[in-house]
Amino acid sequence: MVAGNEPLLQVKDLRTYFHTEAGVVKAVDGVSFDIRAGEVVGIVGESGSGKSVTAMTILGLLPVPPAKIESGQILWKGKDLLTTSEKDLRKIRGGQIAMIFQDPMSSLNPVYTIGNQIEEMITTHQHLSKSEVRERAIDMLALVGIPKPKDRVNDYPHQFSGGMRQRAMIAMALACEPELLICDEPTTALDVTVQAQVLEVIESSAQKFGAAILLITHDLGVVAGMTDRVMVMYGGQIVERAHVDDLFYSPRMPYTWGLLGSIPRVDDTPDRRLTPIPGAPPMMSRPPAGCRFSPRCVFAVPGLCDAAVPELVTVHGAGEDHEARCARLGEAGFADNADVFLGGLA
Amino acid sequence: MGSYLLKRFAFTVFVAWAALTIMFLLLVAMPGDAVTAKSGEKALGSGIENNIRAKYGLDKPLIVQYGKFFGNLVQGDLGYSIKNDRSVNTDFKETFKTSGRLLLWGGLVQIGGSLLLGFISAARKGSLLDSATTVVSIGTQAIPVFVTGLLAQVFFGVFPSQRGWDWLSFNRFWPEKWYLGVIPNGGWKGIVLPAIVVGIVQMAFLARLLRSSMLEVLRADYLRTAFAKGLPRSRVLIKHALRNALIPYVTAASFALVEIFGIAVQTETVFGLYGIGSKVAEAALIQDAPVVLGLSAIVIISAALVSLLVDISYSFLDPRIRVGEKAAT
Amino acid sequence: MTAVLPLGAETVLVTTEQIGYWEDVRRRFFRNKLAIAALTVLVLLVLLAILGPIIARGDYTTGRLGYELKRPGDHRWILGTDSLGRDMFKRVVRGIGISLSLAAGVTIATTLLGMVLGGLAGYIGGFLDTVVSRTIDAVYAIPYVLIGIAIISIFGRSFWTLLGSLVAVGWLSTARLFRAAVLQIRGQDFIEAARATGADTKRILLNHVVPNALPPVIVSIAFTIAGSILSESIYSFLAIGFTEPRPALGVMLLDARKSGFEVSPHILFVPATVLILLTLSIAIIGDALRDALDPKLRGAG
Repeated sequence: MVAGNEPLLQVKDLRTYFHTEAGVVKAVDGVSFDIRAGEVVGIVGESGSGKSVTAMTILGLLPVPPAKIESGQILWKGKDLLTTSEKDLRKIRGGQIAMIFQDPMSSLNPVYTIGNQIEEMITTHQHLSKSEVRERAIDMLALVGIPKPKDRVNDYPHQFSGGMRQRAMIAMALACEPELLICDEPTTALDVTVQAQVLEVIESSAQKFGAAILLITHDLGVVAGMTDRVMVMYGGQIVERAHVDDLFYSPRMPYTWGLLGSIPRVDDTPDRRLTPIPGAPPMMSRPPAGCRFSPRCVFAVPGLCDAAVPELVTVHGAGEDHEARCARLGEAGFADNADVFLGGLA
Repeated sequence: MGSYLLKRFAFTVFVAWAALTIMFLLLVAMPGDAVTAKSGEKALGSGIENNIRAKYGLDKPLIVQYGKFFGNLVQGDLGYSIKNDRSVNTDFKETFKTSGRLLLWGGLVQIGGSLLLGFISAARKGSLLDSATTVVSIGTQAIPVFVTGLLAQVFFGVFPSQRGWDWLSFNRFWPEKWYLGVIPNGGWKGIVLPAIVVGIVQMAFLARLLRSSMLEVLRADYLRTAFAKGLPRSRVLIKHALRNALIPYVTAASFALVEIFGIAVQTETVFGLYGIGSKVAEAALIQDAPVVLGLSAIVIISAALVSLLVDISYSFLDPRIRVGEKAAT
Repeated sequence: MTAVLPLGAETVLVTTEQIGYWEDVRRRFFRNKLAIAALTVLVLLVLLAILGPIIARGDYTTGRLGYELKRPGDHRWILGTDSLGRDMFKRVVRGIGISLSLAAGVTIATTLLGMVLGGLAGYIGGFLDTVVSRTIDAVYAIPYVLIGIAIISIFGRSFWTLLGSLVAVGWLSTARLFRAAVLQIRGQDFIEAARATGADTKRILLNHVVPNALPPVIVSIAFTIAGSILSESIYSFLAIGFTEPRPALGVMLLDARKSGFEVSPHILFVPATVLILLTLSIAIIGDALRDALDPKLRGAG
């Protein structure tokens, strides 16, 4: 039972490394966070920041080897998933924690009908009669907005458009009323026009079942519209986390500034220029010394920023539960540097 | 689906027709016809030769003979031996049971063995069985079937029986009694070696093919989805991976099943079985072209039918062929 | 031709690529230990085929009463004698030569025929492509042994019949491979560029398509050699290929089957081992070549 305030999911100091020929890749390097029941949490970062690996580690879907979980705990309702048997994990996968993947084109099995694949999810976790299972599959398709679900339940994935396939994935993921829905870049592969609709479906249908959402994306726009809290990941670590409004209006970490500065905003002045972050994300087989962002950071101070990895510390005066990882965080007036990227709006 | 099957059917008919025509042209239209060959070294008088030609219709224009060949074939008449006047139908009746049984069991070894070995090698990649399959695959591709057959006779027949190891001796006579026509009943050990020899070449090849297509499918996104649903590994492998991996496998199996007809010719000779294959080889040796043609026609038509069956099963495996795309709404 | 910048630039690109590519292929081939072992075995067998008849002179076709079925190592018969008392060593070294020279003839003929037919079918397309492709489909529907049997049953047994029946089947796979390679290359930009500058078909084929379609052909040459040695032994074993007293390996194996290998297994093992070593080493080399020539594996292990 989940006690009143206890988080649904607690990730504690998780480290997932890949042992490759090129060396050890520290894909996730000391990540901790909580998700409470019914809450929507976002993880934002560039590709290679470790956000997807974090999600896959939670469900135990990474191939071992090359992946290896070096340390940490993943507490699901107080029980550590990393020490749970494969058999018990299977009950949790799909039944309690479900996942939606990036590419709906390739995430559905081409040789089975949509209905068959949703029904398989239901029969794996619940004991229902054949007709009840069928009915539930049709209901789920209706819920995610597939027209004529009674007919389309017999269609194969190739007969669905990309947006419809992602809707079917959502229907499948929610079929057993999971308590947590992990969405890994759910709209990246879709047409821009369909993206908003799919996000809307994820949000409304998850709400209907009271499922919490962990939304993984590189797109701050997606996060802004739908999450309660946001974590920014860089180089396998969380570099800033805050309530969504605080992150957008009082960001404290230069990387977050860079992310925000590289996207257009509704409140932009016409003369603000979009500034891409210079350089490329670090090679995680050989992470840079000190702050992982320091080689790309225009505010980096030699001797300080490349000396030691800064801790994730609480930010004062910028909203509740706001934390950031920056060596210069405490400097008076440092936060004003955000103007360089955000044109005085923050 | 209807249009796919119709297309495959038309293609099968075309290929069988073209293959029969090629054989007809090779065996009938070439200079140095069967009669000259029949007369051999003793030169028959040209009068006698011409009489023989007239008797077999060889004096008619090629196109007439061609029409007659197909006309007779459709009516089930395979032609007549030029050496001893026997009907090829008689040869066929005497030999088809042996060949049919050999091919059935060889085909079972080929398909069953390759499915099992290919699946296990992929699921347990790098295991001993996996390496063994690879070695056997390269080996059987490079060693002629008749050599495999002879060596099998030595190691699982001659040597064990010389040492009294009966359990290892499979070199018994071909089963004499058959239950339902195809299941060996008594002397069943006799079928083991011939069936394995017929099946093993393509079995190893198909197992390797299934293995690599399984390994490819195992990297697919929809497999990750299946695991994320909480399905056990065995179910993911069988329901989601194997089913998709079978699609390329089936295409190759169609060719492999044609090839075992050729392999059967050698196997029958090695094991001294009186089947269609050894009969054809014997007819070729005495240059009895009509017998070669008639029996080849049977083989080609059977092979084409088997291919067609495989193609039909292909359409059941891959819904993208069976069901067209619907307009996305 | 100063105006043909795209062609010039691409040609340079392709040529530099080619040098690096072949060097890379050579390195990767020689890093494959199994391939080196196979190459060693093959070289030894070839040397045996060349030097064997010089060392082991004398009669190898006439039987000698009283000397039948001597075991290997008995007196001066390193590999024993066969059912007619003939020296197995003398016969087997000549058998390798027979296999290899027939294979060479078959391979040259099939490769040329396959490249010309497959290349033209792929490059010109249209009706010619349809005819060639459908012919290949049709011949593939006939088990290959039957084609050889048909040819032999009309023309009788001879070296040329055997050669012809092997070529009749062999060109298919080469043509198919080469056609596919040409089709793939034809669509690429540098060919379009060459065509745009007005180079004629013959030039494009010879200068651009052939060198780029070569890797699959090299692999198919290896498999054609192995395949024709295999097929030749099959026909000889079925008594419709080479015949006594010619010491082809298939002929020796047929003799073993007829003359009691149960009692003297060496008359089976000697030609079988030589045949297996020969075809297996070539097949392994072919396999290694395929891996080495695969541009997708460039620079890898």
